[in-house]
Amino acid sequence: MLSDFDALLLARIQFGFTVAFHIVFPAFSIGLASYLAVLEGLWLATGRQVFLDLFKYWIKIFAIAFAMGVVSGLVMSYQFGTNWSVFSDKTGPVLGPLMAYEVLSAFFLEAGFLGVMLFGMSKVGPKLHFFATLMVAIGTFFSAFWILSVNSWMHTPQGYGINAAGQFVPEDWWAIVFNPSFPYRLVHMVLAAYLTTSLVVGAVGAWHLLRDRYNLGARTMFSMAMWMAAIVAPLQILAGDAHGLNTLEHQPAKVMAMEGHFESHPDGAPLILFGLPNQEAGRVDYEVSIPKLSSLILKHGLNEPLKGLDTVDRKNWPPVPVVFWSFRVMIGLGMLMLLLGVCSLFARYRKALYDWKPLHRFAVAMGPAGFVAVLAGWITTEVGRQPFTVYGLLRTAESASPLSAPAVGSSLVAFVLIYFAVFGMGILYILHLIAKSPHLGEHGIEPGTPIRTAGITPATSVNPDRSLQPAE
Amino acid sequence: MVDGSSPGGPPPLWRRLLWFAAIWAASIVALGIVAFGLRTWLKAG
Repeated sequence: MLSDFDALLLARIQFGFTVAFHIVFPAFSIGLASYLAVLEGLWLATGRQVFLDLFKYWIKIFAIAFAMGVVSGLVMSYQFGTNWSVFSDKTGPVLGPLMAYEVLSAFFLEAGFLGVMLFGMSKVGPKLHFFATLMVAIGTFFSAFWILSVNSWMHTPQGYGINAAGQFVPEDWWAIVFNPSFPYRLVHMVLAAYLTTSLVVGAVGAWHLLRDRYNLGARTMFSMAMWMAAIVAPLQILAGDAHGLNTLEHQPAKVMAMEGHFESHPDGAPLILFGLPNQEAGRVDYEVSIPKLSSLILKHGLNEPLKGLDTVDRKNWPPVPVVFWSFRVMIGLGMLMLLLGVCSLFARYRKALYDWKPLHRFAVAMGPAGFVAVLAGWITTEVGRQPFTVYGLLRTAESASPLSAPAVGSSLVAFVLIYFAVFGMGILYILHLIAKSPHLGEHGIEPGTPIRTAGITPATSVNPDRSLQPAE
Repeated sequence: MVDGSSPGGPPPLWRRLLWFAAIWAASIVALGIVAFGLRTWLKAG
């Protein structure tokens, strides 16, 4: 049965499936490592037990997410050798050292200090333990730095030469590492990781607030997460806009697909909100659009001309419907994240952050939104790069190993079965952990006592030694 | 897993630093063994 399929398509599905599973774990662990460092730093600075309790609550989840990220990441490098051997051979001299730096970061910073972070508190003391936590957080950032440098070089290659064997060889490492799309991609992805983590932490806090609004741990994590959402969501929109302008400069066909612009617009291009891209016919059916707005966003002028896919050779078109819709999913979720942040600021202003149940339900619903947005964003950028692996230089069809469809298909089936079993169990265990309320040494306010200053009794008079809402 | 208490006062700095280095090195060795095992397995395959 598998021999009826195309080996290249199966190899692409396999890479897409495994990388989609993988990216959700780093997206979570990059943000969670920094959150743990903030929690431990706040505990050391203030001595408040709630921060240590939250640190203990989240470190178990971090350890599992980290382990699943490492295991799923190993499979990616395995596939470079099996399914994409031509790509590996041609780009190895450039990308191999960068990926080795990522492994060194993961090995000596993340994994090494993770041992101290998990098992060393009673042995090394709080300050050295905090140092280890910081090293893990920095390690996750460096891992992201090197991997995104590799990925960005594949989108905007520079600093290379081509030798007699047809391989890309390094000529200027600085140009290779800091290629034109790298700074934008790094900022956009790291902010996405922080936003994803804040939405998960916010959802967990909101979930427990809906059951017990006096839970101090739930209050603290919800408040911290909503601050992050309110601050990072608008920053992410600005970073995404800058990244889009960079893509327009270096990969215009991708932006044409994102916008659904099959035709050129010499007098200002419309922003197509919705529609059904018809790649064969070269048009968007049933489109709903706002005239000239795309030119305003991309060129900062209502009548600025924008080229369409009619200026690109058809054999270099990406799959437009996939790029068009994944981009809209990402943007739509980004707008909902902004709305959540704004609603939380409103609730905070009205001193109802811990009492407004619709906000808590909204935050719970938005818990997975960061993961979906990250996946949609990566689908946009990677499918939008097609039909190339190294943009404009090496086609995807010329990058694959000379394998038969049954060979690729059988490993794909094995991956699907094993991934759903292994990572499904891991995700279920994480859900089991977050379903438990944060266990606090400091229990906060007893039910039935006044909880906010909107009432008659000021909260601080209940316990003058501490404020009620520590993270506000 | 993580215990913030320190009954009987903190141990001296040199001992905490030794523990720090030992746990860090043990973590590296543990991961190294896993990586070497995977490498051996893949080469054999």
